[in-house]
Formats: sequence, C-alpha cells, structure tokens
Amino acid sequence: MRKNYLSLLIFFVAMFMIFPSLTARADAIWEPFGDFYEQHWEECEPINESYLTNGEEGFVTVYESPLSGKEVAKIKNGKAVYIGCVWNDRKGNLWGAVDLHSFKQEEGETVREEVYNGWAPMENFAEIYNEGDFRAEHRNEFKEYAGELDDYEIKNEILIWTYPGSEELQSTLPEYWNENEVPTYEYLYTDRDGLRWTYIGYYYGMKGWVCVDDPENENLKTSYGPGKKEQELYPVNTPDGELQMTLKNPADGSLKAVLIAVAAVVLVTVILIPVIFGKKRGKRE
Amino acid sequence: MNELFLKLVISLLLTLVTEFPVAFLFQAKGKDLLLVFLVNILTNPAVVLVSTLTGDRVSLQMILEGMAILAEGFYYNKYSTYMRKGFLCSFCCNLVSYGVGLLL
Repeated sequence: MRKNYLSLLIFFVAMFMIFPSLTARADAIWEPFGDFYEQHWEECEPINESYLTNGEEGFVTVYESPLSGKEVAKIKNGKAVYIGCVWNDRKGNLWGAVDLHSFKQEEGETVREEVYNGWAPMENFAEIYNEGDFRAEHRNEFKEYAGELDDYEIKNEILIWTYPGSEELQSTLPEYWNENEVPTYEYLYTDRDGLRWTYIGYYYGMKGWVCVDDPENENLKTSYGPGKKEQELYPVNTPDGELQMTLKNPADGSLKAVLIAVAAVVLVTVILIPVIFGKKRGKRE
Repeated sequence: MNELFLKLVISLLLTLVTEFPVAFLFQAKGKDLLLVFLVNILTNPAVVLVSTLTGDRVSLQMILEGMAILAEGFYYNKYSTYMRKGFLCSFCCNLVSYGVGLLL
C-alpha cells in the first residue's frame, strides 16, 4: 500500500515537472546566434553585409552551427541574405552567420521553425554589387552638385535608392524635416540613359541616391539595371529532402567517432550485464 | 571538444543523478545500484544520440523513452536482487529524469 502511494507521488511530481516546462518551451525565445556564438563570439569577425546564395547544388544548406551537422534551412540560389559575422574553423573554412529572421521562404525552401539564425560556409555565397562598388566604378563621372534639387517641392515622397539603377529602395522622404530643411546633396552623376542622380550622405538617418529627373517614381527602371560582380553563379535548383542531421559534420568531422563510441558502449554493456549479474533474481544456489 | 559528445556525457550524468534516488525508493541497494548504472549506460547515450540526429522531435523522444523504459524494466526484473516491480521502477526513473531534463 505504502509503495503504491509512493509510486503515485513520484508520478504526480514528474507530471508537475513536465507540463510547466512544456509550456515554458513553447514560450521560449531563441537567442540570436545561439550557444555557438556565445562560446565563440570573440573569434567572430563582423561583416554586416548582404550576400547572394550561390551553392554548387543550386541551393544553400544552413546549419545550426559550424560544429553541428544539424540542418536548419535550405535556400535556393539567387536569394539575398544578411550575413552578420564570419568565423574560421580549424580546417580554415570561413563560416557566415545567416540571418533567417526576416527570410521569406518560397515553395521548395525550408526553414526550421523557431530558428532565426544559422551558419553556412561562405563559399556558398556570392557578393552583391553594392553602393561601394558603384562608387568605385563611376567615381570619375561624378560632377559637382549645383543645387538641382534644392527647390524641389515634394508631392508624395522622394525615393532614396541604394545606387543609380539598383532598383532597391533604401528609404523614402515624405516631407522635409525640421521646418523644410532640404537634405545636403553631394555629387551629380549622369547615367547612360541620361538620368541625373545626386547623393544624400546623411539626412536624419537616411542616405542613398535620388534621381534628380524623376525623384518620386517608384517604378523607375534603367536600361542597364542593377550592377553585377564578375563571379561564377550556379543555377537555381529546388532543395531536396527534409532538414536532417547529417552524418558528415561540416566542420568537426567527429560525429562518426561518437557513433562508433556509443555503439561500442551499448555492445559492451549488453555483454557485461549478464556476465556480472549472472543468474536470475530470486534464484538461490 | 565535440558538442555532441558533451551533450551525451552531461545527459548521462544528469540521468544517473536523478534516477538513483528513484531507484532507492524501489528498494535498490548493493549490486542493484551497479545494475541501475549499467542499464543507464546502455540506454541513455543511444537514446540521446538518436534523438539529436533526428532533430529532437518530442514525438520521437516519447517512442525512444518508451523503448528505454521497456529495456531497463526487462533488465531490472531479470537481474536485480532487491528491486521489485522493475518496469514500474524503470517508468518512474525515466519520467523523473526526462522531466528534469526538460526543466533544465
């Protein structure tokens, strides 16, 4: 009778421990970069740039960490993702921390639930032509700004682009700040379509390029389009299969050793128990 | 050191720490304690490894824990000297250790 009450007590104590923690698990928030980054943050170098996915298979597999074979996402090639920092493993491979928080997955792509960051080898990413590349390429064509937009009256909102022809909006300006304070514009650049552009270095947190001849056209397109870097781009392919834990650990390579060790322990123990304990309980010689 | 290996070691230590007291309550003593130790060495690393390799899904964990309970209960019934109700002991031990693991 006493043992039955004891068993019941243990059962209820265990239930009270399990259910609150299940609720806690559902409410738990995944911290940026996780355990790996907390242990290795000093070895990480900040990058804070967007890159294009460019895996040889046609997609990029993102892992939980460089030391884990656990897949957390599979993303098709050609997608812009934000890389926060990079880390070098012992084999000299460079790994990038991929921001998955705002990633919008398409059909065929997978992102593990409640995962906001992951890691992937940087060889799977291509550089994106950015404002710095545009500036380096066309710096010689910049002329002095002569007040072309100083008297402009905003009708809807001025559009601020990453660079001329980028087709990527940085921000919009619906009205001038601080009692009609006009931004300080720098340079005047005329592109191959004859459109004139000017640059805002800083205006209440905003910066980028404004098309002088068509400052509010959100459908603005140029004949030359966004810039491209000279690099090999692999074709797009739909990721295959579900997310899994790969046996081939990308950075560490000791997963197989752990598998063998566990198998050996199980085998030895299975043999050892009958040897040590021999006869069945209750038998007396 | 490999993260997975660390996870296995910590999980096993935690399991032993939580299951021994429960086994005591089921009259385990003497050589029975060695049996509890060996049985957990047999089941715990394998369960944790398979669970980790398959993404730590709760549904699969339940199945794996069920198999561990059956295996441990079998060994307790077959080889223990003082312990009674091997399957019930195994069930309670694993329930408590799983609960503690979730909390942590």
